[in-house]
Amino acid sequence: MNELRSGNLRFAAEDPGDPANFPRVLTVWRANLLGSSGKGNEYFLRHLLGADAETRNQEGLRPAEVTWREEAAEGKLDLLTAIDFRMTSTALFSDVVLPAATWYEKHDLSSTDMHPFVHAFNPAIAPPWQTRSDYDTFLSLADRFSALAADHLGRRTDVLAVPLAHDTPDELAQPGGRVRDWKHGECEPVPGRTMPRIVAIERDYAAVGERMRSIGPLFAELGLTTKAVTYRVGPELDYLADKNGTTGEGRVSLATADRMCEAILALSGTTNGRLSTQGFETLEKRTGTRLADLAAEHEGRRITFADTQSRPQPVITSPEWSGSETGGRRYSAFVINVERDKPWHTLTGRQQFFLDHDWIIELGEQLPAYRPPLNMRRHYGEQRDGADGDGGAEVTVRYLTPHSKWSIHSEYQDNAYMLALSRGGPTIWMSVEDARAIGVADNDWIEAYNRNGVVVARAIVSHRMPAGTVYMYHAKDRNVNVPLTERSGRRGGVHNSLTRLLLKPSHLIGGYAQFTYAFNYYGPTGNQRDEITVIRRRAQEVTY
Amino acid sequence: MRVMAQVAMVMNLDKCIGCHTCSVTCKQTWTNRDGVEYVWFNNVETKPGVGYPKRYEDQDRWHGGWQLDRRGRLKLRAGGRVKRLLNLFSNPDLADLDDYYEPATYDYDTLINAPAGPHTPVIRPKSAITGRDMAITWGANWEDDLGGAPEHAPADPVLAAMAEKVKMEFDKTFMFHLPRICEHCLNPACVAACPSGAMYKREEDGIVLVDQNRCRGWRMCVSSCPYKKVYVNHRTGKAEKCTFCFPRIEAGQPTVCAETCVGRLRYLGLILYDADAVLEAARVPDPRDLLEAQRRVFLDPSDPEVVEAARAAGISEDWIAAAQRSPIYRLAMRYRVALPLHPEYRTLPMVWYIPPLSPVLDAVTGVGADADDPDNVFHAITDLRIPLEYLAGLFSAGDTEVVAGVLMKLSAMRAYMRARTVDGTVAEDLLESVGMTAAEMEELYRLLAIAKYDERYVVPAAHREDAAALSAQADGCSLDGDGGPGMSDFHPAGVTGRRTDGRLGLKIFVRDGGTA
Repeated sequence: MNELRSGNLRFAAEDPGDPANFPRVLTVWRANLLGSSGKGNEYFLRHLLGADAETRNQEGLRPAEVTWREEAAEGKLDLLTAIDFRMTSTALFSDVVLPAATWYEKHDLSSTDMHPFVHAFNPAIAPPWQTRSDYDTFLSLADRFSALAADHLGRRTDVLAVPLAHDTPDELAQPGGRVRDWKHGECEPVPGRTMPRIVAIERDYAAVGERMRSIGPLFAELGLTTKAVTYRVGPELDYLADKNGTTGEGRVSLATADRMCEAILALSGTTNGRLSTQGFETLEKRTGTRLADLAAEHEGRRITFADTQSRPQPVITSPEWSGSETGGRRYSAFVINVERDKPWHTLTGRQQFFLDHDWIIELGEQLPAYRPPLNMRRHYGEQRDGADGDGGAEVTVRYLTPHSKWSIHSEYQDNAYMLALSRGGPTIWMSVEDARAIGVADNDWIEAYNRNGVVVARAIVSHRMPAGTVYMYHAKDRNVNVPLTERSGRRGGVHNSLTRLLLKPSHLIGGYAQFTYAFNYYGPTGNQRDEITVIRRRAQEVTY
Repeated sequence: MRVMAQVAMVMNLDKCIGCHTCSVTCKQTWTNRDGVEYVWFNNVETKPGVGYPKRYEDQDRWHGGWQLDRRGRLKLRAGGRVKRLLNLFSNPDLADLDDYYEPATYDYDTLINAPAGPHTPVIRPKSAITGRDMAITWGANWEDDLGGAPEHAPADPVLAAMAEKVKMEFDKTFMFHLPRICEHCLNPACVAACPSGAMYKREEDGIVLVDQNRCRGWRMCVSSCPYKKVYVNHRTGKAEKCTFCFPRIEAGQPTVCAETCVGRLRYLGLILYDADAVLEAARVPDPRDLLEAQRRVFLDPSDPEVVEAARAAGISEDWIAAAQRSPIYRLAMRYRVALPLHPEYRTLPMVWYIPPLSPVLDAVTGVGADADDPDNVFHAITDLRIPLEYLAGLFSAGDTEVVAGVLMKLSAMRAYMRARTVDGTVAEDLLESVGMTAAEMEELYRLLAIAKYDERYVVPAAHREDAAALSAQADGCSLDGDGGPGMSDFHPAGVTGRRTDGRLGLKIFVRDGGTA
């Protein structure tokens, strides 16, 4: 703590350009970071990969507490690995592509809160050629890593800065939503209160592969905790030892994907009635309201992997979620809070619309209110730069990248049939008025550029679009029918080539009741929805 | 009365989200092979739009379907036997590839094998016909969600025929999706036009098929089908079309398009009809009477007389029972909310549609009114001519009263159920306005909103005792064969033991070479 206080020891985030702080190894597992989901694609290409990129952004503002380097680091990664069954843009840019088994070549589970079922994936055929299931790929990587780590890393203690966590006492870290900064002397640096928790953890790097193959001792000692409810899983571990077999040390085996599926099902209240009942009983003591009856109808029920293989299984109402499937009801969020008076996970325990955090107050968002889109012209200036020099007509428009009818996130839709049912390559939807302004007819090639990048696409002109706004739907890869740009002579970009990751300051609030970080639940998200772009009609002869 | 049974379909267009899952699963099942790259037995169009192939509804151009001659006789629009014979070698009414689209493939290997170079590798479109580089300028779903509509949609024949001109403007936008398969018509023009006797309508379930052994590739079926749902395999030169997934239907299963429909908008079931009444219905003078004429051909499966006649015609008990449970009969006849597509073609199509309320709701929202208020919707149905006239052009030979009546029912049903669910009241005025009882309204609601698989698909299996003649089973997998899945060598001995020539069950419709 003294080193931190004195400034000798700093967080990596305070100097992200220091080579000692770079991420060096990135493994992308069945996602498409560089073809769809990476907001600010051109920045990824330049700064992560050191590849050619189209960004020409000149940053004006300088952060006060982060070290600024005039030359931002490029090519930070030493190794980019993709695990995939498609040659995505991410795979094209990767150093190593590990061929993956598809949904019909492996054991896996699938579930979501959008429907009340848990599904199994089952191999119709063995993984063809060199492909492996995700599970086997990661086991193989772990084994090789462990063998190398025996020499290079061995057994050691790592010190981690861990974020203040949702549904823990960390939510009380900032009483009243008053933000005090120990760096400014406003308070003492206290881990878990005025700064992240500091956790020392002993790692046996040589044992990673072996440990992946079994359930460790902490499940039995500490139980499993979800949303502040701890589940004691002794009987489940006995059951799994019987079902899955054990390692030499007597630990439950997770040696294969189907055993892992069995363990997941046995250890979740949504698929194990004993645990959901136990969880509700724990909650009953805490809330004083009747809850355990929600799971009682299934207390003796345990969904096995074989059950899910025979047909999708309806799940059991569990405190791990907020809805109720009791009596065959369909899931809807927060039913238990509304009907059973289980307190909401908020400061007041109720649905809460007034927020009194310092930063929220500063932003004027204490109550839900309409906020207009950011005025990007004001923030970043006019995007037209006249660099093309031919005096061709240009129009500056709002640029949105919504989900298409067929995919969200990294999901792809550019298979042969869907290409035949669309326009077979990249498209931008624009209004009749904007198209007319720059002399564009339906299906003309256009170029869209701004400070972040360049896109070449076919125009889809439709009166369904309002004047002044264009759409480029999510997740069209740059490897299908994307010509070279007229502007730079390089390959045109993806929809995220014109975007850049922007953080909303209020999303960085932490340690204050519901404003507390939870992995994949609550934390800063990239916001790329407010953007503008310049569009021009380009020469209709394209080269690839 | 000569009772026959037909497997028929109804699609509820308000539920179609235009996802094209039906198109993709159909293509994967039936036309995933050389020669039919451009063929979609099932396609989904955005309306208004010119469709696939372009302007297929323009019968002045394609001469599809039937018309009445001066003496009131039913004649193929393509002309009589002599005219068709003269055109045998150069049919002027055939759509060419540009009317469909030039199918593309991609040089996928490039992504794996491209040599080191300054740019990331990219695959580019190659013609699936010539193999050469191509620019994609049209497709099977070019107009998806009104893409390119300002330029192309004014050529939509239904739109062009409207008295009131539709403006392609943002705040006047309306659209809906129209999934299309073969209509398996009671009076199929394709069957009548075939010079080789290769097109036939199965006697026991009415499915229209092509005998690949008999087809000589004259393509009269292609031009004569007003829905453009018969295609040419450019490799074999023979006609191919939607099979209504007959191997599945024979097994009591829904078609692939219905089975995989995400919106659950498709219904399958039997219609019992009087085969002796078909011809008369197809030649009623006024096209606006064709809907009622076709309804009169359909028989009430619960009528004891009909049941007796059906038994006499050899229709088995389980098929009669299935006809009595048929969602098609209920939607088309009892509740009269389903309508045929382009009845004016006089083919008596058997895939019907519940017209969408959404264009009307779009119009209500467009003028800034609340689309949840039934009064607004009723006024819109009667006052806003544009969507109504367009729907009437598709489903009732231009008779807006018919479409308005259906939309009133759908709107009343929504408002009725809303009142019942939200404030627990029974809106008697709504029932009265559409002439329905509370029980009928509830049943219509159940059918349209929550009907499960076995209520939406009431398909009786083919009979075991006929199985020996069902070549799809006798010859092994129906996907075998050179011509492709299910299209070759099926039915060498006919579908049932009852038929002698193995093809046309309803010869009456091709008497005099197309003049009936």
